[in-house]
Amino acid sequence: MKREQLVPRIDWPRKVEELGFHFHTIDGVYWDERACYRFTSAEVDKLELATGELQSRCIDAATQVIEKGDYERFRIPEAFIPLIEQSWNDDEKSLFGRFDLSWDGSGEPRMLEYNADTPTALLEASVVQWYWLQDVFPGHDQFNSLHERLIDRWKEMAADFPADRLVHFACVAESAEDQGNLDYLRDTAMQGGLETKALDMADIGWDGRRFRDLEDQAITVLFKLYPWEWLAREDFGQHLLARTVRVVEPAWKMLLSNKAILPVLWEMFPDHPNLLPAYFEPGKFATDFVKKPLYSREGANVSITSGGRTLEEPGEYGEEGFIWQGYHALPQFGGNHTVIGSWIVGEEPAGIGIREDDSPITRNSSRFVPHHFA
Amino acid sequence: MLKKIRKSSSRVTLVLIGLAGLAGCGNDDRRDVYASREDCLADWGNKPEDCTPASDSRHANRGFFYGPSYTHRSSSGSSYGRSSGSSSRSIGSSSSSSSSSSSSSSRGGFGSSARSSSS
Repeated sequence: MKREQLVPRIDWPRKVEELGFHFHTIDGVYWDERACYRFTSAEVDKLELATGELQSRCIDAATQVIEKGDYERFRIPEAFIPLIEQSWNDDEKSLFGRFDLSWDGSGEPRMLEYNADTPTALLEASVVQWYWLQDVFPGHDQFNSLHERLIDRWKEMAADFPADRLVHFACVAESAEDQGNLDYLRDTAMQGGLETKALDMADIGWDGRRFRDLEDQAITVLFKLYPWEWLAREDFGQHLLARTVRVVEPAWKMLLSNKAILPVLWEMFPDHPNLLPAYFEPGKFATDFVKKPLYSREGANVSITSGGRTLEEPGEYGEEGFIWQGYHALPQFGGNHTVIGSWIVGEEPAGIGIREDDSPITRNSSRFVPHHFA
Repeated sequence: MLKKIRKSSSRVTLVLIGLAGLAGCGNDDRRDVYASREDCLADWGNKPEDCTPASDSRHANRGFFYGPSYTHRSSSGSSYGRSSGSSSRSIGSSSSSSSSSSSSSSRGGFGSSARSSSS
């Protein structure tokens, strides 16, 4: 695993915008092709193996939590526990998820967390870096079969959907990033043979019996790029309990997107080479540790204590509690802290996207850097 | 010797976004949303008439501004009339007809958390 410096394609903004990637510049550089990462085939195999292993262990953990009814530590609203169990027992299929891994090419990749509910940075991983590869390293390969796998997964999921095969896609439209990711997912669903409509989360209507779109059409399958924990606490959340709408990601993903899954995994699989020690209680680590809110996104309210110093990202999370995880410093390449986002589509590893930041805490603005291998 | 199976997609084609289609959580008649009036003016040629305080309930109490209505052109990522030569300063866009439904359904029961939901 090496970082290589490159001269960007002269007309890269036009090229990426033609792919629907309009948020390539967020508070400065976001899509960054001034560099790339080069892997060996063996390294990619290792990442793929570790990702598949972590997915299997996470399913094991969800199984145990549900079988034991061990929900208290997840701080999930009690009314939603039956919804989790029903979605699990009915085998409601998951579309995707993204593990964040710390790895420098040697030893074992370590799981920092699992973005199992609303993972983003998908368009850039699936499409933009694929087209970059065709332009810059046309003879090389890339760990990225996201596009094909997403289309195939929609086809599989469609078998469980109503006969009209209509899926409503919703996000917070004022977020250009969320909207870009949603548009791309809708594109793959259409290529998977589904009918699609899009609307803003705030435009979802409730008529007393069903959710409705702005044309009063019933919403029977909803893909939402919007966290379950927010849905559960908002005014219409209670209406989800009647299960008149099939939601993607399914409700059982509330368990895997919650940081409580990290200490549960460590309890079940202590000393697993792809996991980091994690606990529900403070004080387990004498020196270096990371404190993470149960619910948190983009590094908000995450604090790192290392070498007697504490670095904390601001935010509005933490009300539901925290977990403590052993600190495993992100590798640095050319002074950049590098995290590997390793994707799952369905149940299978599907590719990676690499983010860099000047800070050891990966944030919303962390730069996306493409990769290749030969 | 067996040939190594490639790990990249063999083809990536888009039918909705990019050159071929449109983007958005709704229809394509939209207005850009700005965190400040200054950002809006910078995007729209410093014409005060083009930048108005947001009136929609999702934006109004946050001090946001709307640019003028336009038809989205996803192939270029730009809009008719917006200043060229730099990326947009908008923080997103809003479908201008998003609240035009005449249905009896109540709305606004989702979305109040309104932080970026990505991770």
